[in-house]
Amino acid sequence: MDSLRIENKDNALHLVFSGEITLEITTDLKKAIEKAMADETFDALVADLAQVTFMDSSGIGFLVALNTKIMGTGKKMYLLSPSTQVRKTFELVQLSNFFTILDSEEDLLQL
Amino acid sequence: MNVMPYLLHHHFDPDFDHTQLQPREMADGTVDHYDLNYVQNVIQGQVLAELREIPSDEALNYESRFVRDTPDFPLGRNCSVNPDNPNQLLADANGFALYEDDVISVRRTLNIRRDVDFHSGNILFVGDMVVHGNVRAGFDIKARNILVKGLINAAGVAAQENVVTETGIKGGNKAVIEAGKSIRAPFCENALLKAGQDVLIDGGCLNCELYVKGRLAVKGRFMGGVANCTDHMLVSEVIGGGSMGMDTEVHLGFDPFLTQQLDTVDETLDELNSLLSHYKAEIARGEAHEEEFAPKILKVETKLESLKKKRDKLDILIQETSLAHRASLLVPGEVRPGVIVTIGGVALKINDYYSDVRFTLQDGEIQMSSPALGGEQE
Repeated sequence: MDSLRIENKDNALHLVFSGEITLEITTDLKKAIEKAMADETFDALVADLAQVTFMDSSGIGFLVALNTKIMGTGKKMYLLSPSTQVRKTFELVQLSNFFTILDSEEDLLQL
Repeated sequence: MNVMPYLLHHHFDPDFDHTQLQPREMADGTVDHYDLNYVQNVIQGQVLAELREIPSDEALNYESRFVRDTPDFPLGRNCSVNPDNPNQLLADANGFALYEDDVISVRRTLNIRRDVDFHSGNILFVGDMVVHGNVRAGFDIKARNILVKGLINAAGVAAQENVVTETGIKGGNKAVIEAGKSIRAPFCENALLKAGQDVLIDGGCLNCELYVKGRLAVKGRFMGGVANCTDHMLVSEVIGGGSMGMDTEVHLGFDPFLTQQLDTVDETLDELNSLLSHYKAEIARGEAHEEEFAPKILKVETKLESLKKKRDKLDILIQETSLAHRASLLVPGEVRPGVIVTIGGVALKINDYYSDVRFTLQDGEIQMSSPALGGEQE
């Protein structure tokens, strides 16, 4: 998928998103991520949002569902470097502190 | 005229029933009892359903309840038609979507009318949550505001805003209670509490670790454990004394979340410095090792540089946000020997029994005065 690249780095599954995360692609994203989660061994999931230009409510709903899934497995999920635009969307739907947001990859080292 | 029917396509499960949840089998064949997906979260603005025109002869292929003759929605509470696309139904609030009385609704409050346990699994909800029973050991819940009518056991409870428990917290050294705003409990023991604003414990607080950005009030006894608090701390009855040999410490004046971050940075710096020494020692063993360890050294040095900058920034922020000049420990009851009090980094160990006293920082020293309450307290 053009909008998603998946890497396993130091036991953290990195989901590197790009472009727009909207209703149109969330079903495909979900399938790809579920497959990676089943295939890979990891302790934490990092959703890298640095290259995401737009996210609608369905996109946020998708991240909430992903967080639910991760929480259920006793692992942690982090959002990495969301753009100003994406942060504004989180604020708009009052979910800015719902996720654990990391400003940079260096913050990951301290977790 | 032959009118085409409309199929109502859902972006949530219209038949979802949380009373019929089943544990899921994982890819490796094990069963996950913690992830039961108890609730269908929806976000304000999220598309809940869409109307799709279908040929008349295909209508029989779908459930009749979802085939409509007219392009309209079974519209319930907290939903509306997308003004930019009349074929989409949107959520007007964060909550969970469901069919009630044959219409689609979004509810902002999730009532769990039992314990959070193996029947519910972990629960993450974007609205407010009320747990009518207990939160059992080993389970996690997260929501905007959380009210637990029963007991919070060795569980994880995290709220964007407030956490209230009507019965208490019996943490078993594993409970972690986090609130973006405030926490209130009748009592708490053996738990870790973190609050972005205030914490109020109506009874005793035993062997707990607390991080409080605002004020902390314990109306009963505070025995054993560590309280880190930016502003005032009030202990109405007794602070210190026997609690299974655990020390009682109070640290006031600095934002405990920033000092915690500083501690973490310091730990990471120590680890990286050890690693650097190790790599340098390897290189010293011979030139053959240089090719392997030189890039690693460069990588660690870059990380160290960046962390040192972060540490400096944190240090400045801690001083800038310090409330040490006005922070105080107020004890209208009794202070027992052994308690350690620090305000703005200045420490005092209590060596005697005192009652009705207040501890403040004055001229770089911790001063004790009486009475505890009244006077110039802010």
